[in-house]
Amino acid sequence: MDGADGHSLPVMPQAAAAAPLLQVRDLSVSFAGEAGIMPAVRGASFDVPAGGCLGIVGESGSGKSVSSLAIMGLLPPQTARITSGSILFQGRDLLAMSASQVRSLRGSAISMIFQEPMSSLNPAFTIGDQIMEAIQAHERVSRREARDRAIGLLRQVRIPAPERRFSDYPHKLSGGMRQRVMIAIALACEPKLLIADEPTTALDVTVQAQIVELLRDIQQERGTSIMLISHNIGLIAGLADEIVVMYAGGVVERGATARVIGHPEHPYTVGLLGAVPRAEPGDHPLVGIDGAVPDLRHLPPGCVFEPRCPFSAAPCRQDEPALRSLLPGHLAACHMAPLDAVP
Amino acid sequence: MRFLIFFGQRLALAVPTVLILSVLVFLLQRLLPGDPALAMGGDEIDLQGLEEIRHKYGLDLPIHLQYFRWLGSALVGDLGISLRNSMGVTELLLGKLVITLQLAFASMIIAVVVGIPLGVLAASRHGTWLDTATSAVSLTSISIPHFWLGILLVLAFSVNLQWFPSSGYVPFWEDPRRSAMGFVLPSIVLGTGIAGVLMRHTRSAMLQSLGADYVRTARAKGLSERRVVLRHALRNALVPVVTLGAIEFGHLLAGAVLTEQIFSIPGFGKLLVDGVLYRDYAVVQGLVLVSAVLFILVSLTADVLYFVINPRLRG
Repeated sequence: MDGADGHSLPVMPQAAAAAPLLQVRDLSVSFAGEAGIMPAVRGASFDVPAGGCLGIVGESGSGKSVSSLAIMGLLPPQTARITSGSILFQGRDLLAMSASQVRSLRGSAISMIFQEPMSSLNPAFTIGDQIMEAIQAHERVSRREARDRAIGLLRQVRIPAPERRFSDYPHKLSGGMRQRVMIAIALACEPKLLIADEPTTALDVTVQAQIVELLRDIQQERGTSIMLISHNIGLIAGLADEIVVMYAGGVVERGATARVIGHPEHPYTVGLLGAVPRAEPGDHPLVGIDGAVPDLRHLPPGCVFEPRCPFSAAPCRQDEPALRSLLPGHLAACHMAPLDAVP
Repeated sequence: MRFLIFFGQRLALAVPTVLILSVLVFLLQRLLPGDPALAMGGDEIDLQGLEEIRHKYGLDLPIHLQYFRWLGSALVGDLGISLRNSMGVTELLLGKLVITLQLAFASMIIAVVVGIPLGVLAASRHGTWLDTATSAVSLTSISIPHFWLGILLVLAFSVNLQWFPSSGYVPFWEDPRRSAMGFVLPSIVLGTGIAGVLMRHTRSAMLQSLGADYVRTARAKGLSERRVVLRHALRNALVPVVTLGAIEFGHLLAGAVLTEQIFSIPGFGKLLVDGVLYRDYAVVQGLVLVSAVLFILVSLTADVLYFVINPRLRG
């Protein structure tokens, strides 16, 4: 499942050409804490194509999870503030909706699975109960119908003996099985958009591949749009039509998957690709990125990646680079791009 | 099947606990200064009279024989005869148990009805003035001494408003209404402190479960906040609270010495005070033993409840 070789990917130009299902524009989110205000997302913009898959890649603290919680309306109300931007879902701004309007979309039109399958299910209820609850939260159906649908969902996420598993409590299931149940819950009301935040990070490698395959099938068979969030660019490359690379709360590169993987135009993306282990023959030294993600409360004045950047030059220390188009549909926020031209 | 094994284990553990306890109860009472024969015989009695009393009640036997005699009869439900009024201790205790049980249940209902909802409210409004106010109420209710609260309540609701009687016990079958009215103030006194304890623990258990990943999942499903709090968070938060509530209830069954004294309720507490004052060995021993067995029964019940609300135990 190493997708670093992006050329073998199915390209879906028709999906990318259709009107995007979700448009995030200039989104900024800050957290107020005792140590001051921390900008977690700074002016991020990206689209999730209808029926397609957008991958968001970045290290911890890059703002990718916070962006997804903002879309879900699940940011902690006491500390988080959305300071600018809009989130258009099917043309309607989620940020302008009332809490109950957002709640009626949550779990029905937009649903989400999380990184922690071991703790994301309620230990006090059976898995069948938890899937039925997701259905009954949005649709008026009889208990019997909800039960039949829940068993059908368990079957679709390929849980063996779904009728028996229906009455099991979560502690009886392995991590991979629990993540499948989470996916079943997310699919309960046929969502248009499925946000998967690091869905495989806590799982074994073989189980990871199965979950990725399941997500791919869901996208292709149901036409569900997927927003896949991961620190693993290889995983994203295997599923996503388009990639957004985030760093320190901002989007640093954006484009079609094959293009970004084949010709990365931001030094950070280059670094991420160098940090992916490859199984191909030949000598591929594993290269990390020196340094660490900057403290979001004290960002450097110029480019936020400058302190770790091997291409760094004088302008990088003064002006923060804006995203600019290098090819149609391929954008990077780097003064030095295109990197081919850098000596 | 799993339940039977679980329950059997708990029950097997309870037996040695009761035995060890019976030895302690027996010995402690004997270590207290004072002579029951003297207490019974009064000032005028001569040495021979004392010997007769001692012989009659087996007080002249070696101490281990006294213990085995007592334990043997206790096992068949005979806790001996009160040294003070020659009544059977078992009958005496059964009569008082009814009163103590009523008081304990009434107090517990008040504690649960007040404590758990306030704890849930404080946790779901974490960090607001409501949370602070609830915590202050909780701390106050834990800190108020029973005798003081009792006197204040009597002053306000019996003397001034005359809503409830200030003291006295009326059996339920004689006059249900007056009987219930008599339990209101003492139950508030006993329930207040327990409500405070339950409130604090519910709040902290709720804060923990509200921060859990499964609560985020529940919100992601689009459930109402009410359902998220009352179904998903509370269900898990109740697990530690049930155990705590059972312990508090067990304490109530041992009798409330001060509160019963203030409101002249003839329950276990009053019986204990009288028993100790008159060196009534048989009554004190029987009372402590029965309280201990009741406590163990309550914790067994709590274990069963724990088993029901915590599916992980069921395997």
